[in-house]
Amino acid sequence: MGALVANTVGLVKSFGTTVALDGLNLEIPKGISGFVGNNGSGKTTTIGILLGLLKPERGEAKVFGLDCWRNSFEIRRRTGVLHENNTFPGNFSGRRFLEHVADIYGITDSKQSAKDILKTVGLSDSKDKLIKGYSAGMTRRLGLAQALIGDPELVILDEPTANIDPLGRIDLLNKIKELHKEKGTSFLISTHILSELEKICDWLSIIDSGKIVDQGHIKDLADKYFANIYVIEVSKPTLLLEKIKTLNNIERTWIEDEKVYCKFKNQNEFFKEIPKIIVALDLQLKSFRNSQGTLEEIYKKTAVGS
Amino acid sequence: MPRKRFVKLIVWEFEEFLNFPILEFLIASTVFLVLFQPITHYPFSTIWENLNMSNSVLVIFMIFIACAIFSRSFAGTLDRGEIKMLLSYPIKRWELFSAKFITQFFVLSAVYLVIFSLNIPLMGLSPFEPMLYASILGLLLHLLVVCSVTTAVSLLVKKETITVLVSAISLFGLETIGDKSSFFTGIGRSDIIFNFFKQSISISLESIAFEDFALAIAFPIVTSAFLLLISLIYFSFIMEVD
Repeated sequence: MGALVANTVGLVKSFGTTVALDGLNLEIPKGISGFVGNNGSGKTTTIGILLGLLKPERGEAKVFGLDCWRNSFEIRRRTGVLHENNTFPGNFSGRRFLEHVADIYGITDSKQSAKDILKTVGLSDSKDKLIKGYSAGMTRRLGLAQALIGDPELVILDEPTANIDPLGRIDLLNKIKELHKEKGTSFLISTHILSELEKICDWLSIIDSGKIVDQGHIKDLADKYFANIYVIEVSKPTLLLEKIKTLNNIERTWIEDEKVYCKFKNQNEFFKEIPKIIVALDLQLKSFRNSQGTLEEIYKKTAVGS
Repeated sequence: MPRKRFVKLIVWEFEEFLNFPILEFLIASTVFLVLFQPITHYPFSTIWENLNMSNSVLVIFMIFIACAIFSRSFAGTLDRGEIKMLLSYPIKRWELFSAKFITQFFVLSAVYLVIFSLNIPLMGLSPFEPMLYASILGLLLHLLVVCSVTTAVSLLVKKETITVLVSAISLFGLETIGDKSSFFTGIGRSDIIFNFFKQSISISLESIAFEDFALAIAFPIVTSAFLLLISLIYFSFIMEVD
């Protein structure tokens, strides 16, 4: 793992009697990181603490090695953020709003900067339209534009692709990859759409009930959860499952989406035994593959999904 | 850079304020109420009394206008998440608080000054009439109290409608149940300041002691300063934005 852009140690935060974060130990390295969890798991609270909007009760939260509550100004100077429910001043045009944001970031040519960023997010044609007349997708693009203004070192995106059409989503994901590659910008993306994260993320942190369930490089997580696991698709999966359960070489087996998953101890023995069983039971073999460990599968494997 | 950023924030707030569509309505309503009511009830011969009467109407009406605008600016933006967005930018909290308060206060003051300037010819007053400026002083001090009370309530309640109700009802209630000649009420203060100046330039049956005049000036300033300081400390160092 490279240098951390953000991390928390034993972070605790409650709202009344509701415990939002319960000893959160989050690590976000440089690069593109995904932050996933069910609704109410504590993602937005964590983002609020990282930006110094909320004060933690106990524990430590740091961004760029700086304390999030005491040094929040310096953190915000180097960070762009798109909140899940952003409210922009409806009576401003998109261009005027971004000019104001650029001014706040201390950009010398705020007009040019606003113009460039509008082009980047594909809002050039609607730049002089009032924000209150924007569609949900256009507002989201504007949110992305204000998060990217001033070339921040870290960009926090909470549900960035919500309300954006499929082509727009692809554009956005490509843009994130491009910015990371060209400028070294780090991204922390909180989303429910795991298939999108999979295309761009190097790192994944999974949160549940205010705690980190697991985190690491996606490849490492896939190895951890899917080493020695094969997926067999046959005509009668329950029949195969019953037979496989009797084998000594099998550590665990289960059915998911009409497919038989097997975690074995010895690969050579497994490869010898399985074809014999399929032939003996007279089953039709549709596919036989090593589980790739997609982000969705990793998520399901953790305590959150199970 | 901090000074430049502060100026930019004030410009931002000012532009937002000008976009507030209800402003025109409020100005029109105020002009209607303030300018027409005294003229209807009093003859032109008692122009000073007309002026003092219009001050009393303005004090009451000011409560509702200032409460509506200030609760929109503080509680409303907190409620809608605009402050969350603004505080995610490199803006210091005290800068945002001050920019919001200064902008709203000066724009509201300007609105009332415009109304007063319209009052001058209508009441047959000279622009150099000293009582006009005594009235303005009383009203601006009351505006300061209303704005600081609404700001404090906004930060505490964080809901626009409830802030308007709590601030306006409590301030209006104070005017209703309080002694009309006391420096505790807006009408009382306005009256004390008006009559103190009036007795110094003409023969008056009413006598206002300097101590009462000083209290009428000091009370709103001290109260507002205290409320604003508490609000600023709370907003800058304690308040969480979720």
